[in-house]
Amino acid sequence: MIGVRDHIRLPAGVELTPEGLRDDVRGETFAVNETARALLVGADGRGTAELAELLVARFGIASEAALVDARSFCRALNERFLLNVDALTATRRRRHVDTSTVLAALISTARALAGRAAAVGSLAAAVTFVLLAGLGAPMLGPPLALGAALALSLVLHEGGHAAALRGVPCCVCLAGVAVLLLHRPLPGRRRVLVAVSGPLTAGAAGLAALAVAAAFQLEELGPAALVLLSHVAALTVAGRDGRVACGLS
Amino acid sequence: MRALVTPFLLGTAAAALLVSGVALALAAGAGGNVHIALGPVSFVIVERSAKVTSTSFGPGLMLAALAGGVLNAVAAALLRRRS
Repeated sequence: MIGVRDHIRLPAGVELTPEGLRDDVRGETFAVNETARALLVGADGRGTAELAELLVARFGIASEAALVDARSFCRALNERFLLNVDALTATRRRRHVDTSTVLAALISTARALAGRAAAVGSLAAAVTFVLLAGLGAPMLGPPLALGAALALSLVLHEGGHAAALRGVPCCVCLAGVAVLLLHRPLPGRRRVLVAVSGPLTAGAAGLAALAVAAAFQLEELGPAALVLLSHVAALTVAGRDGRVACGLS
Repeated sequence: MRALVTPFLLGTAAAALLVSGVALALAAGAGGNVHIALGPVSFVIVERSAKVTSTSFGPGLMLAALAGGVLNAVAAALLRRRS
């Protein structure tokens, strides 16, 4: 739900052109009418109440109706990842990923997911700590390792996809608890490569960590490394990446 | 043909990585020499000496990987038929 005090802005890669609303990632331009154009011109960090005032001044409509229109329009664009809402309660956000080089893709994906990864990792660490404490074994090391592995696995998985998308415009989309990369449709082999690169990147990191754990008998590292390795399960048709690679979705 | 080969290969890779990972995690948790097997089928052998640690994967890993590949190919065929 978009509140009257929430601020909205066009995300990087989306711009208002004379032809309409241009999305560089999708490679499409969406036609907009005069009312929508008036709202999008003001989508530079202003609140929805301010946008409604723009409509009132421009078209002379009632302020309540203008506010309802502005909020519903913003919600519709936000659901399609064409508009970002600056609010703690915003569930759908879009963040730019630079795919000019593999390194840039990994770094920009990490930046785009930093907040989400930190939140997921912290939550997992806290839950694990409470569970261990409940079992009579309060420890800080294993929960921290598990939380860090979960956060790292998220970044490596999506970073792997982004790295394989080198040269293809893409962005990270956060939709509730889900994270996905938005990009244009790809030809067969490239689509398979992009789909498998995410799980394989996280899995390879997990396998390397497990090899180190086995060689040096680092017992605490084992479960955390398994979290990273578990991403390879997404290669099967049980996971979305696996289904995409197999041409099933 | 590709509709079966791709899921088979992906399932094989996933199963191989998962099984070898779990075997390595068990080996990391246990001290000394480790031999993880299911009956006569060996999965992983870890031998430690003062200077060297050697890890060998047995035929169980290959069997598990093949089973994973077959399962994934069957599941993909079922999903394709349903859609």
